[in-house]
Amino acid sequence: MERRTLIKKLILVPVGIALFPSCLFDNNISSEENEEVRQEKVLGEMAKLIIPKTDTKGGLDLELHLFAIKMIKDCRDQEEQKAFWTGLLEFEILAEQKLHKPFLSLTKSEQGELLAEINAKAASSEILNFFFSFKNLIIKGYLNSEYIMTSHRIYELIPGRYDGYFSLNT
Amino acid sequence: MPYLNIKSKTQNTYDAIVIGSGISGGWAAKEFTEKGLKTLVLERGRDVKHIADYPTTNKMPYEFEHRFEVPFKMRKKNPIVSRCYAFREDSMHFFVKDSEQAYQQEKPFDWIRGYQVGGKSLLWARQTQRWSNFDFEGPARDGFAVDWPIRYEDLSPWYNYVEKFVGVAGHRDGIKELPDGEFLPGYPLNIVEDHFKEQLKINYKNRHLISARCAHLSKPEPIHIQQGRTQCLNRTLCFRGCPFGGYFSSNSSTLPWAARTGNLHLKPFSVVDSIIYDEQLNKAVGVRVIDSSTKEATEYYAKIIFVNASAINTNQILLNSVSSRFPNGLGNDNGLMGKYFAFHNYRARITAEFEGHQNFTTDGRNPASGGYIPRFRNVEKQETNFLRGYAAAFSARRNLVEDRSGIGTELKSRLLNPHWGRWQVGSHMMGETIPKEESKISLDQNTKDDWGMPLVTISLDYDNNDFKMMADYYDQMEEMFSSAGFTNIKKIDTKQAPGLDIHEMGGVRMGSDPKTSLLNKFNQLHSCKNVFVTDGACMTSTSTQNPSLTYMALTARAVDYAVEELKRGEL
Repeated sequence: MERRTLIKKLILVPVGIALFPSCLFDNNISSEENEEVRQEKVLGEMAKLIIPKTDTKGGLDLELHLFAIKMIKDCRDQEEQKAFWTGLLEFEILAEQKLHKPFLSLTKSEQGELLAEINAKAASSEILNFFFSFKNLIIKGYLNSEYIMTSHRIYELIPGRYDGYFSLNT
Repeated sequence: MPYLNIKSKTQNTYDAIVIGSGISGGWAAKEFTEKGLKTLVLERGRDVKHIADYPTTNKMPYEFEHRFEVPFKMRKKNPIVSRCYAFREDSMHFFVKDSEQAYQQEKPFDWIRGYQVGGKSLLWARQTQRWSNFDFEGPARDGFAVDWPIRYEDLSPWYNYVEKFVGVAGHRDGIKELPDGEFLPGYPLNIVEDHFKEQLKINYKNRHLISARCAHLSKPEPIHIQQGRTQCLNRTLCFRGCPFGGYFSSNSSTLPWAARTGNLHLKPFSVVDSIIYDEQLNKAVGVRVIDSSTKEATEYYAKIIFVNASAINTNQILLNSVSSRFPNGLGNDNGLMGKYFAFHNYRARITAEFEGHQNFTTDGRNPASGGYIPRFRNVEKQETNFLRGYAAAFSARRNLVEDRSGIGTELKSRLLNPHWGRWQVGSHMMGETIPKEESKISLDQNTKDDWGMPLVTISLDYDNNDFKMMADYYDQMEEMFSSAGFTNIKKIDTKQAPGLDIHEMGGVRMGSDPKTSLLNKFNQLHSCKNVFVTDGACMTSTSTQNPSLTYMALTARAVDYAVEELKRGEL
């Protein structure tokens, strides 16, 4: 509901109309469910760009965007949640504005360049807040995923030892 | 009908009643049942069975859907408990939520509670240091509160007694202000903590860093194996409950031990409303209990009653135990009950970095959590512009850190190949606060809680002595840190309210004179001899040490005395 209201608000603002991404007005927009699907897709693509699949699993394979969405929904207050979804919308608008295509229609390299620019802090504070809170959650989800904790950076539930003089010169 | 009443009275009669099953109640239960007394332990919360009721204990971090973060709705609904450092996704089921019990704060007080079998013994920080005569003689020397009716020599054999059973890891450090005890092998300090220890030795005469003494089985003795506990395996996930019984709790130790005697009757969901005083017999005869869910009242009877409900609840129960003999609360002839309440000042912290020892780190985890600096201010004599002093925790750690800049394969590779960050050192102050008449627990007779008891009202605040002490802590620690070569020193005032230290004490203080105290030297109410208080409520002053070990020693000592008195026909 929050996001639908938001879209309506943006529509009412003249500058919003000018910038509003065409994808948001196609036949998908009529349903909130589809909007959520699109946002999830955008976040999934972003997760993939932030932590790509290489010879090891990446952000999308590990569904880190779903972890991020869960954390936003369950652990952030109303204002932070609103800021996150507004930031995501503005991010989509930015893509549209700069490259004249919805984010999901951009090429991999266009998407990557856009994220790199934002990562270098070239964007509005709303977008930066959204992007870095998302990126931090992706990193948190990655480092605390079963995959990483059991195969790369091993978490020991039961160390059974303590050495206060562990030498790093091995 | 009379027959039925007699029958129910017989059924509900025990030799001893213990109110509360936390760290001190568990000890009372163990001691009474071992001495052959049929003992009823009343617990207001639910039962928590060792291991079986530790639902999160073996979970991996990724099995917690919010990776230990407490969901927003929970935090919003429960702001007080959410401020507690140990309230996390993996441990929050062992804490009382704000909405479960209302109380009034005349001044901000974060009341952290654990209503379940085992109480907060499941959640304690497990730091176990003895008091010395520098602590017991404090009020008399410095002219506050009243003189303690006991000295170290009275408690020392009981410290021995409980330490052997609890299992305390520590080194014999030979420091007179922090007496040595019956220790299992101590945990080591790490290389930077040892560096700090050496620097203190070089730069100061009377400042020591020791490995923190803690209730962990570093190397279990047969007595611990008999309890069903095994070696601590350095998980440091203690707040979930330990499947090995690696740390001491009522659940892993005293309660199962008491149950084995066949003399223990444990009754959860039992909120004690009051203690019943018999005007003819001139003593307490039992307790009135409200079933926490049905709200039905039942009476239980016994010759001896131990009140171990936790400091504030013990005050509430006693103040609510009114009769024509005691219109202001049981044993409260002098009107001091609830007053001279105090706590530990944990507001001040200091952090820094150390650039040395880059070729070393730690491996595994330290259950003792690092070092402990015993009080070094005003020990032998008054030497500062504030009364008493502070102990300080100190620890050093090094984390694997990852460069989080960038995105894509570059970021990924950085996340998978972290490097060792600089050594981080940190300390927090544990300051003695002065019990004052205006610092008090009282009852609001006009407002009742869910169980029909007058609402607890708490009035407690920091005072100038506390602020002067904090200023001194910052100065001294900064100097100690600088001379040890630590850099980037940061002083932090958490501004936390009293209560978050979870060391609230007093209100039913011990003392020699019935005019100025509530309990005698055996924790017996001066004017109602078969009622004893051995939890935090009995404390005359707070000193700086974590208090649980002292509660346990006082409890074992008081039970021993109570049973002897009972045998002599004095109770």
